[in-house]
Amino acid sequence: MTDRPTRPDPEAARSGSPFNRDLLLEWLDAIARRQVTLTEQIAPEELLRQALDAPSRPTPPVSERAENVPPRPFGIFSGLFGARSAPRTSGDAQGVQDRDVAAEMLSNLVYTLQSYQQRSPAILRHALIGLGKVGNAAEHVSLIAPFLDGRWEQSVRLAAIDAVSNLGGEEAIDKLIALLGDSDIVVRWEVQAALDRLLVGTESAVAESAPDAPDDEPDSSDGIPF
Amino acid sequence: MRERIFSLEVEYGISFLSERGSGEPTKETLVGVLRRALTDAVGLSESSFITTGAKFYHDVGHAEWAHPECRSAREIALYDKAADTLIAFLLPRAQEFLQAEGFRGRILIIKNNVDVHGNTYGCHENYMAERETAWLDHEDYLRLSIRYLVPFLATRLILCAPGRIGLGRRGEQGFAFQLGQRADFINAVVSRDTRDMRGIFNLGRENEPFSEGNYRRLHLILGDACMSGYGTFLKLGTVGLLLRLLEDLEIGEIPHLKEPVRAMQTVSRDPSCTALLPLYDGRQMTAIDIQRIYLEQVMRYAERHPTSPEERELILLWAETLDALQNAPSRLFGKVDWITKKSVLDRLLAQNGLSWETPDLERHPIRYKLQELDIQYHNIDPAQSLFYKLLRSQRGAEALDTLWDAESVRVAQSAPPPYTRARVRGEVIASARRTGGRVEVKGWSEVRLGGQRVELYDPFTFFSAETYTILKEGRLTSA
Repeated sequence: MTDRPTRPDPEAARSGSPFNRDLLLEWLDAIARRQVTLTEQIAPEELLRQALDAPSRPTPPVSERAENVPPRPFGIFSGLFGARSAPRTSGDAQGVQDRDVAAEMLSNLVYTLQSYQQRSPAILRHALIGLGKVGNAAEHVSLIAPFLDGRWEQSVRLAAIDAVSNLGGEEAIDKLIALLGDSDIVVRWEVQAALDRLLVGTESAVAESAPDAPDDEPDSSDGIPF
Repeated sequence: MRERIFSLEVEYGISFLSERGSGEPTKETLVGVLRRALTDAVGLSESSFITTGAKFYHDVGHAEWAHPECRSAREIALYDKAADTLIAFLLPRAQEFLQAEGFRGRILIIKNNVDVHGNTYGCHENYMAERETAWLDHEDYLRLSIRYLVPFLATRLILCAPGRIGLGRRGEQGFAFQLGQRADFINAVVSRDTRDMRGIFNLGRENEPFSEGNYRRLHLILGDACMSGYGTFLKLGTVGLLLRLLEDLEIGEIPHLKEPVRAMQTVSRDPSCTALLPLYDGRQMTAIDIQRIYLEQVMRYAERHPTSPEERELILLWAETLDALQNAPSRLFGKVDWITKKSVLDRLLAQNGLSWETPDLERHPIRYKLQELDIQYHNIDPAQSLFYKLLRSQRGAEALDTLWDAESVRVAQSAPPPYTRARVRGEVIASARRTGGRVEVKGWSEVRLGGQRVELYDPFTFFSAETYTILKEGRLTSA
C-alpha cells in the first residue's frame, strides 16, 4: 500500500524554508483523492488503495465537486428588480401561478438528484425525503432507485428507502425486496420495516375492498365474516 | 457533524448628508425608506423578509441585515457581498422616497463597526453547533469550546480585520493604525452581554438555535465587518473547521494566552504581526505562530476525515494568508481589508514625506484626508467606495470581489441559498409577489400560507411538502 501523502509543514516559513504552495496543493489533492467516495464505510487505507489501483473508477475532479452548486436558475426569482408586487389576481389565474411555482419546486428537487455528483450526501438525503413525500411512483421510483445502491453512504440509502416506500407501487416493492439480503444490517432493518408498511397497506386495502357480509348471516364469534 | 448553518447579522452605519435648507431625517426614517425600496424590489409588504430569506430592519439606530441560513462559509460570504451591492443598488430609489417626504440630500451607508463618536455596532457571526457530544454534556462541552477557541479568536484579526485609524474607543489613545475596529470594545473573555461587557466568546444566544435537536447557536460578536469576501470567507470558514475538530473531540494542545483580552488588543495594534503574546506557561508566541498551531491541527484532522472541496480551499487560503503575512503582505492586497487599507494610507503618508511614526501626526492637516479614506473604504456604494475603486484598479471595471464574478453576486441578490430552509421562505415570498397570495413571514422557523402555519424547524431542509401541497392545490388565495 502506498504511503500516506506527506503533510507539508505550515511552520516551514518560520524555520526559514520557503512556503511551498505546490506541495500544499499536491497534499490537498491527495487527501481529496482518498476521500472521493460515495460511502464512508470504507476504511481510509482501503480507499487510498482503490483510488490508486483503480484509475478507471469514475472520479469527478475536485474542482467539479462544489457542494452548493445551485439548481437551474431560479425562475421565480428572476426579473424581480423593477417589478412591483404582482397585482392581486383572483381565482383560477392565481391558482395556475401557484401551481407553476409548485411545479418548479418539484422540478428543482428532481434536478438536485439528477445532478448528484455535485451534491453532498446531506443534500441528497433531504432531496430524497422531500421527493418521497410529494412525488409519484410512476415517475420517481426509478429516479430514486440508484440511491439504494451500496456505493452510497448509509444515510443516503436510508433516505432512499424511506422515499421509495412512501411512493409505493410494484416497482418500489421489487426494489426493496432486492435489498433484503444487503450486507448492511441497518439497511436490512429499514427495508423490512418499509416492506411491512407497504404490504400491510396492501392487506388493509384488500380487507377494505371485501364486500360487506349479508345481514341474515349469523355473526361469527371473532367478527371475521368468513 | 458535517452539516452546519452559517449566518451573519450585519449592522450598517447609516447617515444622511443633507443639502442646505433640508431637514435631517431620523435613522428610523432612513431605514424605513431603504426598507420600502427593498420591499418593492424583492420583498413583501408587512414583512421584513425578502426573497433571499434575509431580514432587513431598523435596530437601535442602525440598519441591520440578518442573512439567510447558509450551508457554508463561502455561501454566507457571497450573500454578504450580495447584500452590500443590493443596498447600494437601491439607494437612488430610497433617496426618491426621502425627497418625496421633503428631505434633500444623499444617504450614506458605511459597512464598518465604529463611528466618529466612539459608538460601536456589530457584525455578529452565527454558527450552528452541537450542544452536547457523546462524551461531554453541555456545560463541559461549552467549557472545552471556550478554552479551545479563545486563543484562536483573539488572534484571528490578522486574517480578516478591516483596519482603523485611532487607538482607543474614540481614538483618544493615539492617532495610529490598528487592525481591528472592535478590539478596543472587547473587555471580557466570556460574556453574555453585547453592550457593556463584550466578550471574546459570547454566550448570549446559546439557547436560541431556532431549530430542534442537539444544537446550540455559537454567536460571536467580536468580529468586524469585511468589505472583502475573502476576509468574510476566511473569518467564518476557519471557525467552521475548528468546530468540526471540537465536535469530534480531535483537538490538540493549544497555547493558552495569559490575558486574552489584552492579547487581542496587542495583536490589533501591531500591523507587523510580530508582537509576542505571553502564555500561561511562560512562553511567548506571535499571533501568526498561534494561528499556525490551529492550522496544523486542522490539517492533521483533514488527513483522517472526509473534507469538502471548500474546506480544502480554506486550508489552502489559511496557509497562504499566514505565509503572506509573514513574508509578503502585499500579496494580500484586495483580499485582507486591513492590508489593502493600510497600503493606501501608507502611500499617502509617504507621498507627503510622512509616516505613522511622525511626531504630532494627529495635528498635521493630512489627518483629515487619512480619516476620510478610512471611512470611504467602507462605503458600500461601488461608485464612492475606496475598496471598490482599489479592486477595480486591480481586477477590472466590473469587479465586485476577488472570489466571485458579478453574475454570481447578482443571482444572490434575489435568490435564496438553495439548500436550507431559507429557500422555502424565499420561494413563499417570491410566489406571493407573483400571485398576490396571502403569505406571512414573521419569523425564521415558520411561514403562514393562506392562513395555514407551516413549521420550518429543521434549518437544513430546503423543501417543504406542506408548502408544495398548498401551492399545488392553489390554496394560496388572496385576502
